[in-house]
Amino acid sequence: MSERRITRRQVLAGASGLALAAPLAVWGRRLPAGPVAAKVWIGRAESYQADLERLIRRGLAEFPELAIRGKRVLLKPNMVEHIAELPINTATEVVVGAAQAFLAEGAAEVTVAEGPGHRRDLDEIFTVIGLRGALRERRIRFVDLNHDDWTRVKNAGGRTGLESFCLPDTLLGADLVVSMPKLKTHHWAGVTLSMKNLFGVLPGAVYGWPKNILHWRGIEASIFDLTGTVCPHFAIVDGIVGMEGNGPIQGEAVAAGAIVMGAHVRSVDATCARVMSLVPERVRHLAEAQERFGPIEAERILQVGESVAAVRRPFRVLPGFSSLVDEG
Amino acid sequence: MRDWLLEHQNADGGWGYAPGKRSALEPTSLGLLALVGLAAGPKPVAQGCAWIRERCTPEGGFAGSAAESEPSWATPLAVLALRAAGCEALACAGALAWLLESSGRRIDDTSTNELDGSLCGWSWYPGTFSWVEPTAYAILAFKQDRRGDEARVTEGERLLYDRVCQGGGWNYGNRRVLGVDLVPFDQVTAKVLLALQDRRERKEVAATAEKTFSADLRRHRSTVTRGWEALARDAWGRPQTGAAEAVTEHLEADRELSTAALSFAVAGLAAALPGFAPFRLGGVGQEKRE
Repeated sequence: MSERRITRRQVLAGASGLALAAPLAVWGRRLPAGPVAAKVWIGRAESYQADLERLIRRGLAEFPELAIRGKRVLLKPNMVEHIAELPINTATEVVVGAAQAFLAEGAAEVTVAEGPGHRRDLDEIFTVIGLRGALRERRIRFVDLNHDDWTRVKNAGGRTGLESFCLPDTLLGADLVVSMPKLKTHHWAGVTLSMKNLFGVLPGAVYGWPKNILHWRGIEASIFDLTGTVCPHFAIVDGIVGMEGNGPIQGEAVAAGAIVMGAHVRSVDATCARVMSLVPERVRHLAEAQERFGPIEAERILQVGESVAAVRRPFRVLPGFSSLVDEG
Repeated sequence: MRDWLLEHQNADGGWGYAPGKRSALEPTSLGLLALVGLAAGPKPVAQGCAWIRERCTPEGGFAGSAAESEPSWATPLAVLALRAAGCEALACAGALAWLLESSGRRIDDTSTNELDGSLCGWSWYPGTFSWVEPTAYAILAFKQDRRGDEARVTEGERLLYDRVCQGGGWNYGNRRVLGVDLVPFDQVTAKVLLALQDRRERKEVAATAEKTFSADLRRHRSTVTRGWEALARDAWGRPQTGAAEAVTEHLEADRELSTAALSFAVAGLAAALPGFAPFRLGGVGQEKRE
């Protein structure tokens, strides 16, 4: 069995290689008193040919509390399927830009990791979308979380009824876990953003393809529990070209030209919903998510960088989600 | 492939998905099969068998790793591996008995997915729905045990027919969602063609086989997909010239993958064809390569 480094997070949680570790600690952040409780940054990029490393560094500068220097960073993009012309996956340019940005900010290492829920064979997508070559050129490690070693961690959420989750050791060994979704609608959840993106951390070698237990226990409950257990530190959302309609795979492209970032993933997702001209309070998993991941009320989110209005686009939703649309 | 598999066999006798990783049932089963086919010698094979045997659960199936206590979806692969190695007949019988008793859940409302939710095959995880790949593995294990006439196998086959994609082929198990046809996955399709190699009278099976085997193996980049398809081609009597070279084309680069063990094991199995063919019905292959 490979040795697994004990991370700072695990020390906080008091989990020293026990078979059933304690829940990962909340990453030491206390929401400030007063009406503004989270900061979300929006950057504008007209295309994937923009200098995304520079743009993302500009955004990271708004969050000095990340204290990136010396940290092991895990970037978790959304990689599902490759269908030409459809904006399904977090763009390779955004992933590479983020990796380079964190390295430039002094990260000790950056790992890109994902565990797609439908396709077992990541090799095909990985190569076709160019991520394999791009990461190899820059000597950035990629880990297929579906087949990683894992540790059983107590479910800190409590809504699915699952006692624990098997979480990949690569994830547990990171100091900073960054959820990097695509800005998309979702035909079961309404939207799929940084919290829903966490479905992809669970190893398929345990849960299968798809990770059907999460659907049986309820998508909203699973998002709640996974977010509460994984406690992602940061989110970077690829909204340069997002997806509307029958997301997360069969929808159509919408060029929002935005990168949305923040340390409170619920607030990031709420801002993303507003960018999509949707009402976050009406997205069930956003409304029900824990407050410690940030508020969703606009007046409690400090919007820095570009305004929501500058990048807002109407995203078409399926008829069953028409109530999410902001008619204002 | 043999040297890589021998070098990276863990001290406990199993294989992880990649070097240095914890032994797991799927890579161990495939690695063991490959070593049998590549005539690696008795000791590493015995060690692999012992690792699998130690995973035996009270229910009869094999657990996925030493860290797990419940039977794993990879149990059928372990049965195939132990049979090929000629060991643990009792454990195999227990595992097959467990497979007979375990099944995916039924669902009533399939309006969004347009499939027959009453059909039961096998699931990935306890208490969840039936999906294509675990069902294909289970069917193959029973058929290799000459129990293809089990009612569960017949129902599993019906499930596979029900889930075939428009135009042929299979993916994880949804052919249509919210009115939109989904695409098949070549690796899964190859596994189903192995499970249904004795069902050539079925139009959708024959059509998929024809379409698959008429195309060049090299259309995939993945070693594992090429390897499974080479195994399926062998079972169907449609080998491709140069398949061995095609399967190993990217093997060197695969050393860095999180699933390197799967690459080397499946490539090893493809290299052992046609003399050793554990997935060809009736052709476990006594003519091992020297």
